[in-house]
Amino acid sequence: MDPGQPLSQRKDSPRDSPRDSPRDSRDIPVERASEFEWIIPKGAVPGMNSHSRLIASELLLGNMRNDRTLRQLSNISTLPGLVAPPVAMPDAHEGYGFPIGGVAALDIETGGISPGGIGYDINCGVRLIRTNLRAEDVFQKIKPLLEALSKRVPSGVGRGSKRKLSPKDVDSVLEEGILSKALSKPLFVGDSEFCEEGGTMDFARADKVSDDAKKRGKDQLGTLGAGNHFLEIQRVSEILDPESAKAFSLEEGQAVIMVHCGSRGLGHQTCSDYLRTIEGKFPQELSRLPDRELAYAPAHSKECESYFSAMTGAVNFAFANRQEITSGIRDAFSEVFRADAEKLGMTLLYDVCHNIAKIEEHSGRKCYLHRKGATRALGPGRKELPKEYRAVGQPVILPGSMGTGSFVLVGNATSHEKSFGSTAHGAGRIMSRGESLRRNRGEDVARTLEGRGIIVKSASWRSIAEEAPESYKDVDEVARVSGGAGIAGIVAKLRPMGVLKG
Amino acid sequence: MTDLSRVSPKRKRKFTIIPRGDDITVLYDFLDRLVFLADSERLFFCKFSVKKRKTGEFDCVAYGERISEKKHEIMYIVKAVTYHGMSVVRKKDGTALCRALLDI
Repeated sequence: MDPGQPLSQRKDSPRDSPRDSPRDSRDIPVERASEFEWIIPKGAVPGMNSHSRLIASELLLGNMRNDRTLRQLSNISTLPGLVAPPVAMPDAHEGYGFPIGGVAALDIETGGISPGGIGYDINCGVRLIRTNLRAEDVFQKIKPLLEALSKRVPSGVGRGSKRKLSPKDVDSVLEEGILSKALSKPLFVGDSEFCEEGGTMDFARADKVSDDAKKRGKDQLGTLGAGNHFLEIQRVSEILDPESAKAFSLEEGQAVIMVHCGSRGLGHQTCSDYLRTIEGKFPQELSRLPDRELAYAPAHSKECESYFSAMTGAVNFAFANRQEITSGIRDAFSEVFRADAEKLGMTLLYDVCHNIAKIEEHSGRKCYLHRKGATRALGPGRKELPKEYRAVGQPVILPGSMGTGSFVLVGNATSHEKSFGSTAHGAGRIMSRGESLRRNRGEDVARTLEGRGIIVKSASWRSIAEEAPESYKDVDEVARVSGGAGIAGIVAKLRPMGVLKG
Repeated sequence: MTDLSRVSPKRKRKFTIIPRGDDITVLYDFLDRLVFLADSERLFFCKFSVKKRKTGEFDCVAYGERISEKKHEIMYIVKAVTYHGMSVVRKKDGTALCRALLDI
């Protein structure tokens, strides 16, 4: 077989015959290394350069066997320049190329960057905003609050912002993130400091982002989008780590707001553009990979540097998007509670990225650290953390389904060696959108949730049915495993009171 | 994504696909153009015309209309096209069976 032959012409190509490829991972061997750590040995799929690792309980591992998660995790090990074996997070599930929840470190000299290791929604992420309001006071006004929020934060399929950014403003957002003057409102104290990377990444270059991507993004700043993106008003229902909770200024009964969204069409187009460019430029490298979506730009290539600059631009766009949404949230609360957002204590607790590649150091080597559906979880003492959190570690915001609640975790010191300083990013789906839709009616889901004190507002019933709580894994189990494995411990539980769905 | 029977071919958008590899890349690029046009101009498409030039390029025309929340039930907006499970199987009668999974 000629390794340079286009993959689609190779008889052994799995991407050429997707229906022949097993739809599950039951044939992938897994060995137990400790209570929550597992190893897929080298050789589980052809061409692996190392073994792969995963962090899971037996229950979560069972979920991963039911789709291609373990196969995709093994496939990551076929990439070159791995500084250590890749690892899957407790909430991992099947994705495109990489599994969602896959983390891999590719050497900055001998590896490269794979857009598929970041995902289409670049810097999809989540932030948590505090208030000094009591949850019961907020719940009394939950319906007017959701109404006021829906006017200020466009959500749902195809809904853009009323504001259209000029080409100059789009470029400014791409290069400066939340520090861009194109944002509609000034930052509050802490908006930058309590954001991963300060809300703006170096290396970003607007000229590396295509005009098509900019066209998709120009009227999407400050919008939630659809799918699993949401805005939730929550109550802190339980504190499990008082020392960290104190550092994060969290207390039981407090009302907080969680936002989950990303870089919208701009990020999706950037990923598609570079996937196409990279596979065209490096057919030989691609021919050695088991999955086309693993295509990578080798380190030091022009395409590697260009993609990194474009990707960081999309990262900045996503930071700015969540910042604009935050401004809308502050305005909505101000209107309903007739008080300045500053007086309502609406400061940012933290903003974390889920889909990103960054230059980090692991196993003594500089690398492009890919996190796809995974959250950075730095332990105490790290210089990247704001001084207020340095003694306890980085806050990790772990969203669950709209019926089960979410968690605030804190990064553990051992996460660096166990998981490249990473943990889970959410509950992870166990049911397809189609299956959820077949099993649920949006009206019924909303009524059931209202009976439990959770008010849901969405542009469509369909969206509510697709996001029904049973569509997701048990987030309690994901959080428990994260803590048990020593990568991020539980600080607080959050329960939803009002949900604005995309 | 919506019910195609409720989309009228009132507007048209022309674009050209220059093949850069196998059939799969042509399908990927064709769908990617539709996703871009739908998202950047808020259009639904219902009818397509594709002609292959002797030199190999594909001249494509997509017909549709602006998305209207009153007229169309908006089921999904496609974020991106993926290669995941994508296939093009050419059949003896000259047609091809295409399969694509979209990120929604």
